[in-house]
Amino acid sequence: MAKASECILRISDANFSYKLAKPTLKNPFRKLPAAGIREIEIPIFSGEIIGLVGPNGAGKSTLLKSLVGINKFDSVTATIEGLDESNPDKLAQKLREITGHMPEQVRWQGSKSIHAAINEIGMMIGVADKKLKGVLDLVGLGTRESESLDSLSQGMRQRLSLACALLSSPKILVLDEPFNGLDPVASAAFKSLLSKLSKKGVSVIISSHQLETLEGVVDKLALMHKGKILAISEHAQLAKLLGVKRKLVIRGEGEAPNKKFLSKNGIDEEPTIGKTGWKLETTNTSKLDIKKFAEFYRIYHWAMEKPTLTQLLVAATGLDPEEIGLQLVREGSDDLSKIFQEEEE
Amino acid sequence: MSSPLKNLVFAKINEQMFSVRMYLTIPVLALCIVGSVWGLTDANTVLPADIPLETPMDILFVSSLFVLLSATLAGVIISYDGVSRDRASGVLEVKLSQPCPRRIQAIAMLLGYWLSIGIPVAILNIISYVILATRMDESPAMMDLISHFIATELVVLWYVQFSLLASSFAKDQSSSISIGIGMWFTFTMLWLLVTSVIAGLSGIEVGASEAWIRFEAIMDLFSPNGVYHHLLEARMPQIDRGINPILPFLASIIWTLLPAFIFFNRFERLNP
Repeated sequence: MAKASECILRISDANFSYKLAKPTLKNPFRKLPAAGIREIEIPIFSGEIIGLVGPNGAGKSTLLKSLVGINKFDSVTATIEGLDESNPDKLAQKLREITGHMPEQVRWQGSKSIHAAINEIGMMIGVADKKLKGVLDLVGLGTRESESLDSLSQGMRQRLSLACALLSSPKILVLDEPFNGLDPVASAAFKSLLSKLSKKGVSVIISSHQLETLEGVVDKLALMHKGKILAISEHAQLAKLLGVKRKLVIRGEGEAPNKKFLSKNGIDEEPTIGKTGWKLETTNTSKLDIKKFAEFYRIYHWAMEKPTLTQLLVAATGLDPEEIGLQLVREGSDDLSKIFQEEEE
Repeated sequence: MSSPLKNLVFAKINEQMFSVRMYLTIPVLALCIVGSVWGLTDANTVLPADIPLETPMDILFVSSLFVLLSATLAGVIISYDGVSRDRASGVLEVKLSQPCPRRIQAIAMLLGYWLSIGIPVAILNIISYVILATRMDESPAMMDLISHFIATELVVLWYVQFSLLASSFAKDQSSSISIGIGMWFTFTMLWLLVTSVIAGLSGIEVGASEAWIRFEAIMDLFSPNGVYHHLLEARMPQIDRGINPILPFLASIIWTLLPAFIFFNRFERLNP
């Protein structure tokens, strides 16, 4: 991945709130500020990929809409390509000029062809037909441009949305849940495309609930909660900042290590037992001798793992994973199987 | 016209001209606009209440009832979901994030929808003028034709504007069609009832009195259909409803500019 260099956009002290209609007899047009984003501080460097992570309702989509000029900030201080701008109207227009936006879910529909649909967007920005075809080829729709929108699968619709985002050759690509509806192969191709764009100097901001899809793709993480960015940094630095330690994961089969043995080795945690064996996770590794461990128990895997995004988010927000409502399938699969086992019994 | 604007307008016309809605609308328009002139120019046609059909302008004036029933409804049907469909599907978010200024997008949308229905109506109107001249053996005055042509295109524009404006407020398709058809129904079918109720509350007797005729003429200024008729009446010296003849022209300017202004501003602040 390209190393960050020039700061393309720096947003500081940005606030935006939706206005909800709350009519009264005295004032039928009364509107009150509702949820939104506040005190946002985010620098975006050329070629870096930022993952925007947060629980549902954290304000991720609102922030992304503001970054692409759809929502106009209520107040903001911004530096865009070296020029200061604090007028929300002017900033919104400038942001639209340098960003490409792929919304969360676009239901492209109707009898018009893929080419006609993207051509309509292309006409807004004066894009030549040759470039349209190039972009369609890039997202894998080049051979299907004459097909009608109604015939597209969800994954194909996502690709079309991405093509629209790329049309204006944006300096910053803003992607809201881009992996929704993509099969694993398309997802891998998508990540590869992001990597290529990043190497060309295009900055990417991705919001995703599928946290595991972001791992290995993003350079930096921005953790959002209740409309604020709690922290933004590289993965390792965030872990350090939030005090989340790397953990040792030991997997084995046969008899699981007992409490006495574990406490002797300075481990407080207990192993979880699944159908295929047991798993032990611990951050207390100072007294642990893995060779000694292996003499007593059958171990087939051990590794130091960096904190997951979910752990970082839990540490940053102070919420339980259940409250956050994230996808914990990968981390908690053993726990889940245990629950199912108990239910069956 | 700037290049993106021109391209977007043509794209919208192209999209709408070959839509299923248009295929369904064109026969109705042809029947009402051309058919009504054909029928009314028949020498044996007798209208109730001794409505005269002596001059070409008389024919055009009476046929305007059919224009109002068909062309305005067609305008609503074509454009009622102009904004809400894209909003519901998420495409509006893609469009609004483009560097193309929102005002350009709004103007293109308005012109595109208007011309989509305005062009077929214009062609059918021209055909009906030819029929009128042929069957009456009397060429209509050029100014009569021009004023009828412009007034018809304007009333279509007004309905398209209201529909798009309503569509920009509607969050779903059903609200969008309800507002569009409801507005058409109010101005086309219920306006006389509204006028009568307000007249009754104001102490004006509904009937053939001079006060009622003048009151009705004033109330018509608040309805696009009424203004349309006022514009046609301007070419009919035998009709005098007792209001200043400049008022219908002022009203038509306001009906053209005010909804457009509100729509453009609404589009600027639109949240997808």
